[in-house]
Amino acid sequence: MKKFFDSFIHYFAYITTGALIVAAIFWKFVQKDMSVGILWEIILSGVLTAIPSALILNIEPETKKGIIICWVSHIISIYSISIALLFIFKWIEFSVSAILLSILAVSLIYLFTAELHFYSDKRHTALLNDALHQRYSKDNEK
Amino acid sequence: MKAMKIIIENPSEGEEETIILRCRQPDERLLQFLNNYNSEYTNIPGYDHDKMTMISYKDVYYFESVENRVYAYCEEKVYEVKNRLYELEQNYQHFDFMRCSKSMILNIAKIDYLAPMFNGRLEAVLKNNEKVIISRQYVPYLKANLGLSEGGK
Repeated sequence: MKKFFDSFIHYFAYITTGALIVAAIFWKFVQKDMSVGILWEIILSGVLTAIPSALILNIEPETKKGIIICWVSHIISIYSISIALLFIFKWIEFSVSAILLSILAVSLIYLFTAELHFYSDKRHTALLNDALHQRYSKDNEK
Repeated sequence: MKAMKIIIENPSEGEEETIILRCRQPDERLLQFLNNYNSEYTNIPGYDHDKMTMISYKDVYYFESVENRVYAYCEEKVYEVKNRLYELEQNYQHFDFMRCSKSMILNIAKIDYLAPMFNGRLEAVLKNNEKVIISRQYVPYLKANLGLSEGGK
């Protein structure tokens, strides 16, 4: 339960930040008459998308097939929840262009979150590689 | 506990190599390490079909459990070992070995470099170019082992 809660907080922070950035861009260039209520809607969408993220991404499949299944189910759940919320909150109207725009917006948030994770992992890995090479450099010299 | 001073001296020509421990109360971890160092665990009987070979722990890249059998993977050869994975984990935890997934124990000394993967996992590229996955659950143990965090064993 603690593991789930930690992951939930982690994904909620990342997703909500991404959603706020996309909303700010949208506010600036597309729709200039958004209400303050949108902030609560962003927080709620952050909660609802962080739940499947914490549930699915905590599974560690051993096989390549399992990894692919996990990622595909994560992408499907995130896109379904996000696009459903876009219509429920009336952020977009039902049209092909609106659906395409919302897929683009969700993709931007998804890429932002994935990039942040990857950057943080890369930084940690660089530290680990340094520690590894420091410890075993004597062995390598032999 | 106060850190202990470590002095390494070169023995003179013909003198036997010795470890002298000068302390008031020997730490249990230290005694365990020294016991393991001199123990039978430095060589592992490995089976290649019917042939038995003694493998040095230093030559093992990783141990893996596959369908209730445990294998020791060396640079090129693979041997079956008769120990259970948890026994190997206990016996070799002081020799740079650590659990990296439910079915694998990795020799950290054989890692060439690490690469990040999605979802907090790490890919360890070994010195023989083989790639193994370090599960996210065990990354804190690796960090602790390399002195980067307080968690882990």
